[in-house]
Amino acid sequence: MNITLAKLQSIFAKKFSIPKESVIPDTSLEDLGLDSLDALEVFFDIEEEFHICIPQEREEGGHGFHKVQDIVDMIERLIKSQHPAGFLGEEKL
Amino acid sequence: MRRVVVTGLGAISPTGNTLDDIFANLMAGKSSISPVTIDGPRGTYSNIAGAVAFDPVHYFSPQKISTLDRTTQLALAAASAAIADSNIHFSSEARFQAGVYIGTGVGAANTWEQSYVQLLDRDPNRLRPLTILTVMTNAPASHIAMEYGLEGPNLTFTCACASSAVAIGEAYRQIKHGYTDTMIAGGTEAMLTFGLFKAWDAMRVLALIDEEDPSASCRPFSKNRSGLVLGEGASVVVLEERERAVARGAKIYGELVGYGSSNDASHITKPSVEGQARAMTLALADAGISPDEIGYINAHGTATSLNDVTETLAIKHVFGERATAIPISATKSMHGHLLGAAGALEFLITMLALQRGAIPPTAHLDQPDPACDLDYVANQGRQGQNIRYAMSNSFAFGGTNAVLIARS
Repeated sequence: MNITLAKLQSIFAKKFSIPKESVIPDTSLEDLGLDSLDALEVFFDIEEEFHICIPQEREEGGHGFHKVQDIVDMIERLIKSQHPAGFLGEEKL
Repeated sequence: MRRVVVTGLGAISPTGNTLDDIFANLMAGKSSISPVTIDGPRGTYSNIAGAVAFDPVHYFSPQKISTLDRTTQLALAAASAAIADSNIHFSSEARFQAGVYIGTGVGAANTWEQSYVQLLDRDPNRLRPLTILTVMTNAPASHIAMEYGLEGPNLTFTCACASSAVAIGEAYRQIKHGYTDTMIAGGTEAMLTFGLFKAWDAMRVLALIDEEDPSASCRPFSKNRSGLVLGEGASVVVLEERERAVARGAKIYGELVGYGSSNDASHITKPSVEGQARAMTLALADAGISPDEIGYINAHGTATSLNDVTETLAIKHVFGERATAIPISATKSMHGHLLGAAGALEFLITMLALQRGAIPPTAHLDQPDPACDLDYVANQGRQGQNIRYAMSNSFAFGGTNAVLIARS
């Protein structure tokens, strides 16, 4: 399994007690019963976990992702741009 | 004329979390003040306090806990107990006529402190995303409204040690004057933090610890008093318009008949006899009774020399020669000073005294201060008291005085 997705599943499990098997690429945050404030909390934990900074979006509707896969893509994109040397998560710190 | 009755009581208090425990401990003269050790960023701090036995995991999910400051957690738990006690259920129509008034002196002290430690000591870039929603002072009242769907007026009162007496008094007026039928009113305070203790220390008003018996450190009206002891907790009452309460067959503790509110307008901490006396006189006038009819006073009684002597003089000013005949107790000797929750806890105790015909004592009063020469119910509670009217006093830094009068 994708290591980013696995870590994301752990965040959802720890923060909201959502079973890991429910957090699949095609699920939306709404499907998981989460609202915009919950998403903020998830952002915070993602930043801690992946040592990235999720920039504040200026356009209406925030980051515009709907599905878990969108979050995974965003994380991997930010890791690439913010850690060009290529580390993936805290293991290499 | 719309009348206002008390149909539910609930508290998370140093002296117990059920009405029976609270009143039994107080009647037994049992102090709940004990040593506390607080973790600070560079070590620990030790003192005494009236701390509550409260574990949020018994009340909220782990996810929810991190989004609620301790003040909100305590307020929700006390409101839940009061609403269960009143056995009230809000129909979709009744919800528009039901409001929430909560008092707090400091607000979310624990979350503020944790946030500053995080920001200044660990990582200057990051605070939790919901920090604002956790620290906002109206969070307790808002969460109570959300929990029970109460869509009427929702206000938070802050005037230091009188905050929750004012919240109850203003809630009473909402019903009396026809704006609402039901009010959830009370106060909450959770400020036993490293920073707040240090700030109180700096003011030199905290009691010295009695080395032989730390629980006896708070001694209102006593010659050997040395200051106040901080406490934490929440207390909430359910107020209802009397006819509606009777119609639904509610258990009625008593009727809230008078509220007086004034400000000394003279000094930020030093209380004034005139200001306090005026609040008592206004409450008596609101109740439409003469001073002769008051059968019990739950005093503000903080155990600072300024408060105790001033309050004694103010009571004498209002009640004249009869002042010596009224039993007065300072229950802070046993639960400490809950600041923004003090007035609500003491009003709850006053209602229990009325309902049960029993007067809790002022504990640790072995050496009366000659300047405090009234009947403070020293050390021994009194059973079998037929009290018709009782008064609860709350006086605050900032000069606000709030007095509530209830009838059995």
